[in-house]
Amino acid sequence: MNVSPIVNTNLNKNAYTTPRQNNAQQPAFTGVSQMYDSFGHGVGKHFCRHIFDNALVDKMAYIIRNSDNAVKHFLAVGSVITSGMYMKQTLTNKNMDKDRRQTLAVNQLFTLILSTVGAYTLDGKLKSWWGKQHEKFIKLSDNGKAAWEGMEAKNKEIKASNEAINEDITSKVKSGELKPDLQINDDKELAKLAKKFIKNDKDGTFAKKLAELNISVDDKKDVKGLINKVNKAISNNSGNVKDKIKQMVQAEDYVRKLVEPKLNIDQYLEKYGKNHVFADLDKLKIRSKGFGALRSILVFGFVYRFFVPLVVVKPTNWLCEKYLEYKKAKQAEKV
Amino acid sequence: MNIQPVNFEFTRKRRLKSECDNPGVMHPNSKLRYSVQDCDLEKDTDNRGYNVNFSGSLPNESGAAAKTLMEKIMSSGVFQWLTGFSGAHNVAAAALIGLFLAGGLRPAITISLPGKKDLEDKIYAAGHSMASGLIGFGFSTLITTPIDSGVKFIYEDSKNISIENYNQLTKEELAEYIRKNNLNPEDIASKMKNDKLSEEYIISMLKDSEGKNLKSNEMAAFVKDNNGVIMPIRKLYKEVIKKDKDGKEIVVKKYQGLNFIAEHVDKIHELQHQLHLETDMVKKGKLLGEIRNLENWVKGAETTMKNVSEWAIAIPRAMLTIALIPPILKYVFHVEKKKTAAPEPKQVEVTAAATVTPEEKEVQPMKLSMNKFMGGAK
Repeated sequence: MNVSPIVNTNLNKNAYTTPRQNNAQQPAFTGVSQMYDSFGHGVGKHFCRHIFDNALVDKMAYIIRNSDNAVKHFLAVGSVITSGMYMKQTLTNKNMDKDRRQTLAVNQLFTLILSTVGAYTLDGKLKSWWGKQHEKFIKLSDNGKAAWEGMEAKNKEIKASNEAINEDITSKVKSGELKPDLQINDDKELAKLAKKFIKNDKDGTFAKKLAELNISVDDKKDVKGLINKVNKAISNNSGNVKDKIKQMVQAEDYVRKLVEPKLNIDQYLEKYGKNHVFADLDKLKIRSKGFGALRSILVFGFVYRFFVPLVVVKPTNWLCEKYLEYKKAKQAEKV
Repeated sequence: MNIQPVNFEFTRKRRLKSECDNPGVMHPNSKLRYSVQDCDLEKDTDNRGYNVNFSGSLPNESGAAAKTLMEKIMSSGVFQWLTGFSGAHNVAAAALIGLFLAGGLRPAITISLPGKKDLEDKIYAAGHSMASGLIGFGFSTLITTPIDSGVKFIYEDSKNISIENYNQLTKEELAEYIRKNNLNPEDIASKMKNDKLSEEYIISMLKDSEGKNLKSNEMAAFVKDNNGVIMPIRKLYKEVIKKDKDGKEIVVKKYQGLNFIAEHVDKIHELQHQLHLETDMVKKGKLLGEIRNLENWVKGAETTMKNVSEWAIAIPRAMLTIALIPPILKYVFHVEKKKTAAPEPKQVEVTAAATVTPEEKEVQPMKLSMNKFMGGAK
C-alpha cells in the first residue's frame, strides 16, 4: 500500500493566483455606440473644430509640449481661475467692510497658494513610486507584459545606438574630422554649457567623459560638486584642460542633437504598438495614459477638495479673525 | 507497507519539511520559493510545534497580500475602468474624484467629527460639500465628455496623414498598386520624372481603393505601412489662394481637420523625408530635434484641447454651484436654512460648508462671510 502525503493546498488558493483578467465578454451595444460615435463626430466637426482650431490652442500646445504630465497644470490653472472669481466677488462684496473684504481675499489667496504648492509637492514626491506602480499596472495583462518587454528591448536598442553615436562623434571631433558647430567665446560660456550638459546627463555619459580628464566626484548624484570642479578646472587651466573641455562640450552638443531619448510606455505604444499584435491596443493605450494622469488627478483632487477644506481652512479663518480683532483694537486705541 | 507522514498545513508559516530540504526551490504545491534564511529562521524559532507569532490570520498570506494589495486594486474592474475613463476624459475624471472626496468622504468626516454643539452647522457643511461635489461632477461630465469625444475624432482625423515610414513609391511599387486597383497606368507613368514620383501628379489623378474618384480635398498620398504594405492615405488639405499682409497672393494649405495639427504633421513628414536623404551628421541632428519637437507639439495639442475646457467651465460651474446649493440642500438633503431676523449678507461661497450657527448670524452678520470660506480652489 502506498499512501501519499495529504497536503492542504486550499489555503493558498486565492493568495498566489495571477491577477484577475477581464476576460468577460463585453456586451455589444452596437446601436448605442454607433449613435454616440456619430454624436462625437458631429460635436467634433461642428463645435470642436471651430473652437479649437486657432493660434491660442496651438501656442498652449507648444508650451506644454515637453511636460510629462500636463494635466496637473490645467487643474492648477482651473483652480486659480475659480479662486480668482471668488476673490473678485469677495473684494466687490458691499455687505462687508473694507478691512474684512481685504483680509478674506488675502486668506483665499493664501489658501490657494498653499493648496497649489502642496499639490505640486505631493505630486512630485509620488512620481517615482507611481512610475513603479505604472509598470505593475501595465504588466497585469499579457498584452501589457508584451508591450513593456517590447519597450525595454527598444530602449536597449536606443541605448546601444546612442552609445555608438556618442563614440563616433567624439572620435570625429577629436580627430578634427568634424568641425565644431558650437561657438564658445569665453570661459563663462564654456562653464555655462558644461553646466547644462551635466544637469541633463541622464545616462552619465558626459560625466564619464569628464572623468577621463580627472574631473569627477565620488557621489554620482552630486551634480553641484561636479559643476564646481569643472568651473575650477576651467579657471585654473592646468595642462590645457580648458581646450579639452571645450572639445568635449562641442562633441556633446552634436551628440545631444543626434541621440534618441528613451521611450516611456505611452510613447512606445503610440509609436510601435501597432508593430505588435496587441489585442485591444487602443484600450491599453488609453488605460496607460489614464494611469499616468490619474496620479495628478488624485493628488490635486485630494489637496483641493479634501485636505485643504477640512484641515487648513479653519485655522486660517481663525487667524484672520484674530488679525481683524487686533486691527480693530489698535484702531480703537488710536481713537 | 510504505506510509508517509501527513503534513496538514494549517498556516503557511508552517513549512513542509521537503520545502526546507531544498530551500530556494519552487515547491509544486505552494507555488512559493523559500529562501535559506526563511528556513533557518524557522529552525531557530519555530520548533515548539506551534507558532507564537501566529495571530489567527495567515501570516505569510497576509504578507503576500500586502505586497499585492496594489496589484489587487489595480486589477479590479473599477480601477481598470477608472484608468480608461481618466485617460479619455481628464476633466470628468477629476470631477469624479471630486465627487468621491467632496461629495462623500469630506461630508462623512465633517459629520463624524466630535462636538455636538454645532451639529446643525456640520449638517449644512456636509450638505454644501455634497452639493458642490454633485454639481461639479454633473456639470463637468455633461459639458466636457462630448467635447472629449469630438476632440478625439477630429484629432485622429487631423493626424490621419501621420503614418510612419513615409516613403515615396518607386515606379514598381506604384505599378503594383495600379494593377491591384484597376487604375490607368499609362496616365500615371507618363507623369513620372526621373523615376521619382511627384506626389502632386499622382494625387491629382488617382482614385481611392474602391475605384471612386477622390474629391479635391481628399487627395491621396501613398505610404508604406510598417509591414511594407503600400497603401493610399488621405491627404486632408486643399490649396487655397489667399492674400498676405502685403496684398500678395499666396497659396495656403487648408486642411480638413484641425489646421494647426495637420500643418505640424505635414511638416513632420517633410522633415522625415529630408532626414532620410540627409547624410550630414549635424544637419541630421537638427532635423531630428525639429521632428521631436513637432511630435511633442502635436501630442500636446490633444491634451490642451481635452483639458482647456476645464478653464472655460470653471466660472459658470462655480456660479451654478452657488446658485444650486440652496435648492439641492432643500430638495435632496431635506435641510433648510432657518430664517434669521438680521438681513443675510451676500455670501461668498468657495466650496461648501457654512460653519456658523444661526445665533452667530444674528449677532455678527459680517462674520458670516469669513466663516463661509472653506478654502481650496473649487
